[in-house]
Amino acid sequence: MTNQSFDDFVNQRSKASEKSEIDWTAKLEAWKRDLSIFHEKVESFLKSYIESGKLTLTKRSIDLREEYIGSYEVDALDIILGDTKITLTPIGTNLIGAKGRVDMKGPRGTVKFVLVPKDSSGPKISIQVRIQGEDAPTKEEIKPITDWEWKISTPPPRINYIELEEESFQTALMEVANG
Amino acid sequence: MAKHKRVSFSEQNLVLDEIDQYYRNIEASTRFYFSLSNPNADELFAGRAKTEIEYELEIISKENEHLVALNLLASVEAAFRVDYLQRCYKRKKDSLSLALRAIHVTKGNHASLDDDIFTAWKENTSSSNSIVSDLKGAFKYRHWLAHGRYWEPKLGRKYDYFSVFTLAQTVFNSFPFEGANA
Repeated sequence: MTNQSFDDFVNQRSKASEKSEIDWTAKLEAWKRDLSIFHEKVESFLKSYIESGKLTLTKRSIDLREEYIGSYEVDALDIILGDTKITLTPIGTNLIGAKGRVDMKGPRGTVKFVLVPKDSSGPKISIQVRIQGEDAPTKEEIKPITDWEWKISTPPPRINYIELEEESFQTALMEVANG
Repeated sequence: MAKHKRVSFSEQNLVLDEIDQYYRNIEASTRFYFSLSNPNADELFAGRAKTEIEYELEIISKENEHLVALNLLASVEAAFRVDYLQRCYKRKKDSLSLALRAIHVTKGNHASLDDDIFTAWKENTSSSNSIVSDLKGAFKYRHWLAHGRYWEPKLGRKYDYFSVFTLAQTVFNSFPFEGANA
């Protein structure tokens, strides 16, 4: 005797897993690598101030949890500048419109760093209505994004992505520290 | 199509700038309330540790984000629905409009945003699978918020005000909508 509802259940689950072709372990490893790149950038932007003892930069381990990936540990950064503490906290990799995000929080606000396509200057994509009879592009024709870069996001309501460089980082840091 | 009653547009749908302004006001007010600059701070927070107050602020800020994200997604839904109806009323002949008009014949004003409208956009425009799947995911989040959050959601992604606003801005910057006044 066939248990119809169990059949349906198994079929449904196996179809769902076919649909999801994402290698979550690889995605997590890539996210951790991207985060290390971000940390190296921050360190290099502050190097002379760290060496002269004018500020301290320390790493601390935090737990993140994301659906499909589960719980994992990553490093957050703390910047101590006088009596001001600024934290750089990773948010995750499974986000809308970005491959990763780190929030820099200080007493006067938050600035968000996003890992977005290298040529992207803001949340905009090109969408055209297809002409009748025109076929959708095949899977092979759709080029995956391979070049990602850390950028600074301006806040809503006009989100734009600014290049992450020494000067833009230092401006962002002053903004969250001083307002 | 004639059997379905024509919708009169209210023009009361909120735009992103207005929602963001509301969010900034509510967030600034909340932060002020929990700060030492609040003239009633001594009375309000007597006997409580700084960490306790920060924790409470964090909880309330998270709640503010959920509530305003709900409004952002309602605004996105309104844009898709107005576009759907306008393409039908104007009897537009591009492939997207034809697909939407076919849906309107049977479903009128009750087309499903997810199953009908998003699918028509996916099949008749160059919109990538990724934006459509972002939209579908975000509307699962909205459904969870709007229906009382009583179940453990399987959302796949992390949602907060910033990520939902990013999606909303992508939609309004990118989709060639027919607006209420178009």
